[in-house]
Amino acid sequence: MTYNQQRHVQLLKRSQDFNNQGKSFYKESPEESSELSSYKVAVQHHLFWEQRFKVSKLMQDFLNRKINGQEFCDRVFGLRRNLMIACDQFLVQLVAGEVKDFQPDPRSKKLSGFLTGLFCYCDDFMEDYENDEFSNAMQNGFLNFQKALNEE
Amino acid sequence: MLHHHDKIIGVEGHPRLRVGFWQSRYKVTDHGALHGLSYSVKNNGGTKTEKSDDTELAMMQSIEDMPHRTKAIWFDQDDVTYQGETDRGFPAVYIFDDDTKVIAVFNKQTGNFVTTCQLDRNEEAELKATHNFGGGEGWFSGKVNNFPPKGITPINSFENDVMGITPVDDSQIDNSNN
Repeated sequence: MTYNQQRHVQLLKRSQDFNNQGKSFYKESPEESSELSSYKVAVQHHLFWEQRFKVSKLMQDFLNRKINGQEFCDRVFGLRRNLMIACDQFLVQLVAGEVKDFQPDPRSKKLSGFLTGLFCYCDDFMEDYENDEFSNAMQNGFLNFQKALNEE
Repeated sequence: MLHHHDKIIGVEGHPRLRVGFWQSRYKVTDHGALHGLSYSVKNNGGTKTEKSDDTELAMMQSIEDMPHRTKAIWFDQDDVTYQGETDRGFPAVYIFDDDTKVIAVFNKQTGNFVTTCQLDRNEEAELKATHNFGGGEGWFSGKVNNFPPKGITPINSFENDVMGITPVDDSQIDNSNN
C-alpha cells in the first residue's frame, strides 16, 4: 500500500460522517472502511517503530531479570495503551490539518503484530508469569525482534 | 468452575455464551477500565481497577450488555479464531463494539468468556479481514495458558489431603481455554 495522506484524511472524514449518523462505516461501506483501516495501521506501525528501542530495552530488562514478569507486563499494557492514545491524537491532528507531509517509515511494517503478540502473551499468562514457558516465549520474541531491527 | 453469579448471553441466532465470575475476577484488574469501571493510571501507563465482587459483577454486566450496543458486531462464523495460526489458537466467538473497539473473547467450544480488551488499529483490521486476531504474526510461540492461576482454585481437598489423590482440574482435561 502506498500511503496517501490526502486520501486518508478524506476517509477519516467520511467515517466521522457515518459515526455522526449513528451508522457503522464498516457495515455501510466495507471497501472504504478497509482502505481506511490500512492507513490507520500504517500510522500505528510508524508510531510503534519509533518506540522500538524502548521495547527492546524493556524486553532485555525482563530477560535479564532486572524486572519481574508482573512489572514487565504492566509496562507492556501501558505501552500499548499509550500507543493507542498517541494514534488517536495523531489522527485528530491529521484531520485538523496540523500534520504536513506525513509518510510512515517503510521499515515500520517489519514489526507488524509484535505488540499484539506481546500483549496477548501477557494477558494469557496474567498473574502467572514466573514460569519457563512464558520466559521462553519472550526470549523467542526478543530474538526475532532483534533480528528484524538488525535488518535495518 | 461455575459460580452462581455467572451470566448467560443468549441472543437469538448466536451461540449461547457464559461470562464466568472467576474468569472475570482474573481479568478485571487490567481490563475493568474498558468497561466503564473506575481505575487509576499506573506510572507505566497501564490502568488498574480494584478487584472486588462489585467491580467483577459490573464488568460482567457490561460484557453481558455488549450485544445490545448500537455498533455491536458478532463474529461467530465457522472460521473465527483467537490467536489463530499459532499453537495457542482456538475457535472463538467475539462480540465486538465497533464504536469503542472493545472486544469480548469467548471459547467457541465451551462458550466461556476468556478475555476482553480494546483492539488497536492493526488488530481491528486483522479481525475484520480474517476473523482472527492475537496471533502476533509468528513472533512468539508457546502453549496457551489463558485460565486463572491455580491459586484461585483451592487445591486442598479431601482427596488430596486425606486420600493422597490429586484431583484432576479443568486445565488438565482441556487445555484449549475456558
